[in-house]
Amino acid sequence: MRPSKHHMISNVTRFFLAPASAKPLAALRIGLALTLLAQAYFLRLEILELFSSTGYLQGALIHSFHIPGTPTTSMFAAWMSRLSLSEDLTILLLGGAYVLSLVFMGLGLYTRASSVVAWFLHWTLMNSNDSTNYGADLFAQVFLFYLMLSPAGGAWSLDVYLGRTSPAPTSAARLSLRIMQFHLCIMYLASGIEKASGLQWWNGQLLWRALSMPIYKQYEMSWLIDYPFLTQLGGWSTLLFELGYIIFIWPRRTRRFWILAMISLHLGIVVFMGLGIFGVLMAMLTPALFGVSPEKGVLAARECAATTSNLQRGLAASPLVSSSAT
Amino acid sequence: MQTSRMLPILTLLGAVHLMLVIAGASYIDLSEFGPVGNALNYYGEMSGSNKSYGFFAPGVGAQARTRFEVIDAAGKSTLVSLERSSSHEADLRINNITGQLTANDGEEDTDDQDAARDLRRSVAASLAGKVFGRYRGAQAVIVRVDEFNPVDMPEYRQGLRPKWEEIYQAKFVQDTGIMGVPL
Repeated sequence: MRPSKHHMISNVTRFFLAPASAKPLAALRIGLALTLLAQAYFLRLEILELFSSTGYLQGALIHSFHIPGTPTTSMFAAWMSRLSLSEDLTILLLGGAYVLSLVFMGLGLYTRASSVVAWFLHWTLMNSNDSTNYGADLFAQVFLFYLMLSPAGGAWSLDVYLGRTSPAPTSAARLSLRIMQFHLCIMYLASGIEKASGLQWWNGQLLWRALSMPIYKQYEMSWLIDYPFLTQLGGWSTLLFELGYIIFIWPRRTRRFWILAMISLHLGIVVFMGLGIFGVLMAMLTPALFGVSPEKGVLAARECAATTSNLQRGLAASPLVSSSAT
Repeated sequence: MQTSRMLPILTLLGAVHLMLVIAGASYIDLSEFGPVGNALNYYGEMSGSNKSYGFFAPGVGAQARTRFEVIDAAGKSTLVSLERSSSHEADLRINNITGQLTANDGEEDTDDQDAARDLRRSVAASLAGKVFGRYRGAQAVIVRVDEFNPVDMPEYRQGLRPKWEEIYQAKFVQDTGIMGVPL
């Protein structure tokens, strides 16, 4: 094997599998749990209206908005009716279990089990009334799924404090982190490409139109008519940050700026469009996954290098690595 | 099995998952690929890997709002909405539900048009029923859907202002169901 190939395999292996601390995953776990708990608080008065067959979509109509073949509150209600529990009580119990699972997940107590329950119940609620879902639900679903499968309880958790989980760096933590990072890159690239295909993002009309929409309008922004370059600058900046994310979020030199840019972009959505939960959730993703270091100091880094070397020897013979090397 | 031995498999599964994320973001419908495609699509529903990310893309269109004209026994009418302003998050979701009254407006197939019209009517009846429940003295409820079309900057400079325009109306009375027809 030529040294260049050997070096490449070594780098790729280190990039994806070098043992890492679970701190970024823990930051995501805590941030997501807090955001979803806030969302649950804001929706506490509407849960039955949104999901019950006596709510906004009454009778069998609610079934028209179920996602076929997936678990729904109606399905649970049918099961629980055998125990003489009403549909409303069943939905309240599911909602209560969902909130409890988020609390446990945020605290890192029985992290794996609570993450599985949080993901499943969030998915069930999403499937139960598709008409009410929006972007925040989609991203919560995506990252609850990842948290369920990743060792997110390996840092900043009661599981570690109580000695139930080891805080040692693991390859699984690194691999989980990389997959989530790539997902964010794909998401921003796809979003940027779609935005760039529309004229409104280039000529400044998009921000002007969005800020005038009653559902999003937080402030009187008609003064922007005298400063059209501001809306154009906003559109171009969004395109730059989203399209450039996949490139500039990786190098250390540009990473910090890009993290700040994404936080600003999404907090701007919170302030100027009132999309609080969506904006906060999105603003939290990049700093958690790219801003929190997964390294644990020099000693740990040396151990990482040794383990990576061992792993590489084991992986070199595997079909996956062989195919990438040829 | 030790974790280190599983790592190649996990890496491979992660790569497949990211391929599905790319397919989802590219609007590739996996259900066209037979049973395997259906299975992958179901996995996509579970994991969110089948979703696309076209938020505010390619542009911002119209916004709909739904209001309800409540008419009591004395013939007095009051305009109300379902949103109770308990939180913006709640109002946003209610707006998404009432938005079903304008969903699938652009269907070209006749069967799809019929299905969309039937669904709209059912949603309107359901929402009106909810309003009847909140306003016990109501004799009739008129569901009114308005559309807000934002105005571009050049038009705004020429004095044009955005306004709400009614696009759908249906009247419901106690016990007898729909009285009027959509506009």
